[in-house]
Amino acid sequence: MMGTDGGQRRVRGRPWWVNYAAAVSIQAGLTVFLMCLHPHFRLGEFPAPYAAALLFTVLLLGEGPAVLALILGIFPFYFYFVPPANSWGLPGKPEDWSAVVAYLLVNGTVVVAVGMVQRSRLRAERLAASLQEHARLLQKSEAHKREFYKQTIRAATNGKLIITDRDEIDRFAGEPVREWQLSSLEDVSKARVEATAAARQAGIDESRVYDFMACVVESSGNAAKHAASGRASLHVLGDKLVFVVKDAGPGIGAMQLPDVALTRGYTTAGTLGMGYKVMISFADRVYLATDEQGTTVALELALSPVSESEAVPPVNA
Amino acid sequence: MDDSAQICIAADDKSAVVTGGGTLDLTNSAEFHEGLRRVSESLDDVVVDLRDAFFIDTAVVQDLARAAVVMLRRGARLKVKARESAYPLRVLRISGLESIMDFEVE
Repeated sequence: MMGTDGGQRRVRGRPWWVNYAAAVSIQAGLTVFLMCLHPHFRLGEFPAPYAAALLFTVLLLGEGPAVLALILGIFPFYFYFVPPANSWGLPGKPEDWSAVVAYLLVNGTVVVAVGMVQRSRLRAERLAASLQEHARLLQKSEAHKREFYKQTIRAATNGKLIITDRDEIDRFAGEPVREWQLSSLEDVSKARVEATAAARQAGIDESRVYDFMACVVESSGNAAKHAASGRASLHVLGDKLVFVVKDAGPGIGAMQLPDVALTRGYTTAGTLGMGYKVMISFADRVYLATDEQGTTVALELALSPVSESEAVPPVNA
Repeated sequence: MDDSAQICIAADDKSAVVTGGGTLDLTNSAEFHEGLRRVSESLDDVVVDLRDAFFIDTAVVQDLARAAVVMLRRGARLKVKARESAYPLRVLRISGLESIMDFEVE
């Protein structure tokens, strides 16, 4: 973990030279400590504490200070502990040479191996951080695109088609006055007849009956045709009717909606596209929540015809 | 309001008239769908009379669109009769079918 602070290179949060000084200090301290123990231990056991100190150094201070400590450590080790002790003379016995080789091998391995592990960990951490950042940016971009899509659809339909979520629809629709299961075309027919009767009972103006009926048939038909089954419910909210259809089908292909909402005249979006075109035209507002878990559509119609200015809310409302 | 569909198909060697009355939607328009498909594939003079229809849904609109496209490929145009103030004409206009078929409005 390297960085700079006002031109001062920093390693693990400390100025680089502090780590090197600490590594040298650890080696010096260890040598003094081992000198005190020297009479009680065999020479062959000394590489182990040096290896432990180097492990500590490479983990805490970094690879550079550990390499310095490894190089510097060989001198006091050789001078003080390798016979003839307290001299630079060459060792006489093969086991003394073995201790020197063991020191270099063990400590060198510790520094190189731990250094490699540290570098790998650092790379993995950087990669994870990079992936996390990419995921965050992707999420932000997706949210931005969704919002742009929602606003564009809403604007293009003059505020009539509102892309929302299921909870929002459930919240504003409230308790239903009637419900229907939609598993077949017979169910759609039944829902059309009964919902129209219920709408009349609620006081819908005769000039709006076919508008309401079209919304019922198109939304229920979509559930029966494209999702195999679903549920419909009628809600009366003051002077408004809300007809809600929920299904657990594959959801409306997001790419189909712009065709429905933006294309003037005949669209190739099929019955689904035409159905939405009709619903958007005849309902005062269409609330739509669709994803891979299914589709919920809520169609809001005032009991009496409303003027265009009343029916269309501001785009950013 | 009449909730049933009345469908009549009259055809000879050269022309056909497909009449749809009452309430026509995906639940009761199989005969309309099949009849219109058959005559549009073989005849160049096809009239769909919806003057007695109160209600049509987009399944019917889709049938009309398919028939019109099939006839257009042969250079013929489907004719649709409807009443000006009736709901079916509103649906047909919203669906944008004027570009691919001829409306005869009363």
